[in-house]
Amino acid sequence: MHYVTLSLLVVFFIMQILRGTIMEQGSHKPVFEAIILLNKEDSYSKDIAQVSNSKGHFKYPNLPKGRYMLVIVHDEYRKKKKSFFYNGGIKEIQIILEKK
Amino acid sequence: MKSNGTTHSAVYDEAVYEESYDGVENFSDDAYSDIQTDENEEASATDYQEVSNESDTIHTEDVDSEDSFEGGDTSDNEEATLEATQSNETLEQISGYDYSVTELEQENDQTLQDTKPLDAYYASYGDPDMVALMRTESGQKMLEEVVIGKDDRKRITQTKKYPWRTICSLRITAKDGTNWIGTGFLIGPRTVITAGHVVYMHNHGGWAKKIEVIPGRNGSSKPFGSCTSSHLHSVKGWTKSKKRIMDYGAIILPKNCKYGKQLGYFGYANYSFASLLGLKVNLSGYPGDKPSGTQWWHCRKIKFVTPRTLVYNIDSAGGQSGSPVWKYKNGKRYVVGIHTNGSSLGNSATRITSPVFKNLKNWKNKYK
Repeated sequence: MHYVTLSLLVVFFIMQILRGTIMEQGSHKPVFEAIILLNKEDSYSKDIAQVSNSKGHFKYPNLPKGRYMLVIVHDEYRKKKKSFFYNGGIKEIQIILEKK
Repeated sequence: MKSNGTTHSAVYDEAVYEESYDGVENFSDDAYSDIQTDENEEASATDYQEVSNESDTIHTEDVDSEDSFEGGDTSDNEEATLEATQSNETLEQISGYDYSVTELEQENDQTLQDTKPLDAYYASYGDPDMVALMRTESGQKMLEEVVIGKDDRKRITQTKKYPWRTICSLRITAKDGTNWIGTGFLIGPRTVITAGHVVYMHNHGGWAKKIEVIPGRNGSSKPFGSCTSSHLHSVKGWTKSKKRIMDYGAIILPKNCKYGKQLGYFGYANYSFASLLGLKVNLSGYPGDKPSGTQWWHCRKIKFVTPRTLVYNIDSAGGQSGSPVWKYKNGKRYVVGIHTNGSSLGNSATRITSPVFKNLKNWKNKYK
């Protein structure tokens, strides 16, 4: 039992993940196929972009700590930018998009 | 950087350790472990010596090139060629583009002998190539520079024409189920070149589960349809050692999807430092900050050349990983770099060096 608890604690502290959900303003319905551009502000970033799934979710496991600029793009919504500091662990972000 | 206790060879023997993936699971338990680079990894002159287990390794610079192939026999080809040959420049001629901006960039005086103090910021990259660059006077200047300018990228609407039709929008499904967008380009009948991090994603399960390749995509229009593949290639320097300077790979299209024969493909070339520095190059791909699935072109000079990378102020955004960076010359297109990274200090590509050239050639010739 102690072993299981300890293991869970270890997993919790080791786990580094940024999770996000993109929703439509007002209706709060998930936004499918939004483009997620995540750039580390004090370094270079891979020029590949994630696409939100049908639940509006995206995730970045093993994200290095640091300041990031998150930009969400979708043809039907206004572009949204968000700057944040990721300090490790599990971080959840909610993005609300406004219809054009 | 952390160390996994493994000391990597100082020799970049990527030609020896070429890897491929045909969509069939075949890996050891630790294949997907998060590989850390050795904390003592530093670059020395011998690190950049090209080696191969084959005697016919191409060492000569500035002469290695392949003819590009425009493919098909449509009038679009002739028109595109005529349009391009009207200029002696190395850039594509895009209607309405103000080429004078490419002359405004400061001339480079990059030397690799300069030894200004290494900036801690770049040291954190852990990238021996970039560390070497930042030791130079030019590298230090780059740090002081703030790249701000108007967005003068041009949308390519005639994506049915060569060479634009050989540039492919990629929709990637990673092993962990996440979805991504990237760019690739044809170099042969079935071979699409892209960034290593497009085919092998260290933080998302390793080899991509599948990639949809859409040549010449134009918004919602797929003028040549699309093909999906899970047959992927990269090199151990990327998949195992995670070295940014080894960030390149290939997607092999199914046998019934020989887009290259129909649409043509890019040539590629291995040029010397002197030939590349200050060279005006083209970059075109599918950036995520523009309307969905649209192709955008931009051009600038190469501002820094390291043994394995190219740095330039060509605008890019997420989704353009794997885009070709090419030189136009006498009606031919030669890719000199594979775009991989974006930064406010300069965007960058994996340089086509001798071993990269050789792997590309192998991947092209093996799958026809």
